[in-house]
Amino acid sequence: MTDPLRPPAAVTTVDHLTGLTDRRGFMDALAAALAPPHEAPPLLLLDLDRFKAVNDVHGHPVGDALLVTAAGRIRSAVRRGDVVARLGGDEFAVLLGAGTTDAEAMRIADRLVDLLGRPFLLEGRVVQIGSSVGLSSAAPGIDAAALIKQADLALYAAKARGRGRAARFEASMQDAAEARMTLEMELRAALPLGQFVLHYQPLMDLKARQTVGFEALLRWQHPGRGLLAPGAFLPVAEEVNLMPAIGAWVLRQGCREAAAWTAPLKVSINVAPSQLVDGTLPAIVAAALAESGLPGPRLEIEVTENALIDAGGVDVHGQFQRLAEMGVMLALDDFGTGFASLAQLGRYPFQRVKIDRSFVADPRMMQAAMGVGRALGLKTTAEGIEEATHLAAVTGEGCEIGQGYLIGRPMAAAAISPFLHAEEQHDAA
Amino acid sequence: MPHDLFRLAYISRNTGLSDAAELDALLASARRANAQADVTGALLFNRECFAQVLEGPMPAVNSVFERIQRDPRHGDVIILLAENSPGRRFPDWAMAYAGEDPEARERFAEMRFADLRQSAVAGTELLSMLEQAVGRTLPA
Repeated sequence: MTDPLRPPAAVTTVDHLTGLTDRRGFMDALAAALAPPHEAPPLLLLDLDRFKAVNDVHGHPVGDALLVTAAGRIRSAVRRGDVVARLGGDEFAVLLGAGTTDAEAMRIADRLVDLLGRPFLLEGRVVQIGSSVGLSSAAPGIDAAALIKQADLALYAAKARGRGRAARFEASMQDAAEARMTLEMELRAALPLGQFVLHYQPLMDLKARQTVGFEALLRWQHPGRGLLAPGAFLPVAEEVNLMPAIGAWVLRQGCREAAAWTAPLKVSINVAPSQLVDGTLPAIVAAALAESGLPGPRLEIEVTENALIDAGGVDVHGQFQRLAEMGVMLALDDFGTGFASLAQLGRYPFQRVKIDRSFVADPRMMQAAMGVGRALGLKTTAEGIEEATHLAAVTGEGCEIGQGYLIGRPMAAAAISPFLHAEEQHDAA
Repeated sequence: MPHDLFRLAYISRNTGLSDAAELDALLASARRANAQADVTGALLFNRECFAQVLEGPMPAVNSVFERIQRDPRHGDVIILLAENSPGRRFPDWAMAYAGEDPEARERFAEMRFADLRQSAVAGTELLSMLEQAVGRTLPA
């Protein structure tokens, strides 16, 4: 006799949407597979890449259809005896049958990446996603938690390597994960401890051969590792959502320091796409200007094309408009390397484009970028001027402002006065 | 209801089909499955790539395409066309093999997957090429 009040065990361990095993069923299967005398079988953890975007763009019914179809593809790539589970959201797990070799496991992982990277046709819509897969690595006597941790670290590595791929757990991933956690902890403390500083790179008017401003560049005075460039910590800052707070500090500090300069030069400050998502940028800029006394026209905000694209559903245009009303200049950074269309550029109140450093050594690209800038009535800055030939080329093209090692390296705030003084002496001589 | 009909055209890289016997088997199973699902279409293939058009009720095209997607004998699928349509272009074919037409076979035989992708053959172009080829071949 079965208890009529208690559903059969199988019902409680099935994911209703996909019909796969659910998280609980997976944990049970894993425990059974690891019970002595069994050796741990290979475990795959899989995330769909860009699933959230599909949900946002096409709606949840299409998102659900995608999960069901993806589950079908995963099932089609495994063998009888392998357990496929949906752990939640767009996370799946495949517990491979006992005796599966590492090579077989890798083949299956690659096959999953291939299958899930193929287009999906959902209710007449073509949807393209991808997947990242992490593979555990056999270790005698490993327990369930450690096996999941391995596959999870490998999944994290697969994503860090650019997604759309499978990665197998290696011991170094453990070290990397620990280093990253340490970095995150130190990074969270860096702002309150005052460890960030701004360095300033000169911007030269190419016709007058005179410094007209500086671009503020973020540095982290790390207690143990010295002065760090943004590449060493900004990706983690973005990942843990510290960028808005750091970015606000950069705006305040940049305005404050620029207001103290001996000449009324401009300061250019970079704003990340993540600083645009909550719509508070105009208020932060207004406060930075008010606090410092810096007039709006002396501040130039630089954004990359990503800021225009990443901001799905965010009113970037309205925020730019309000900045423009404060007299703040807007510049498009790394121009020519992103995906912004000309139509998009024309829609935003930019006054300047900064032509990416990769074009400075290529006369044709330089001309094309300059042409676009001119056609849109924008001023131009050339970045990455490192050789006399670059300087001659961009000056010849009629570029207004130049920036690069040849013109001046980034310097500490305290070095600006002597730098400007020296320039004055030189001009006077 | 004219808008109930859906058409899909894609190209993909041939990663597992090598001889005529395998092609015959593939066509036979495709025709069986398509006839059952009310899907019609045409197929071309050479050593490097497949090109296929599927048409029928949308859910049927969805599921036939999904079955094809899971086939390990091809990869790098690129969808060239996905549209609603008032009528079928291959009404008499569960799956026409456009390669029966010598001219189409010859034209397609030289196509390399990379070239196809590079030239970004428009879906409509592929469609009319298959249609011409099938038009020259009488229904069996």
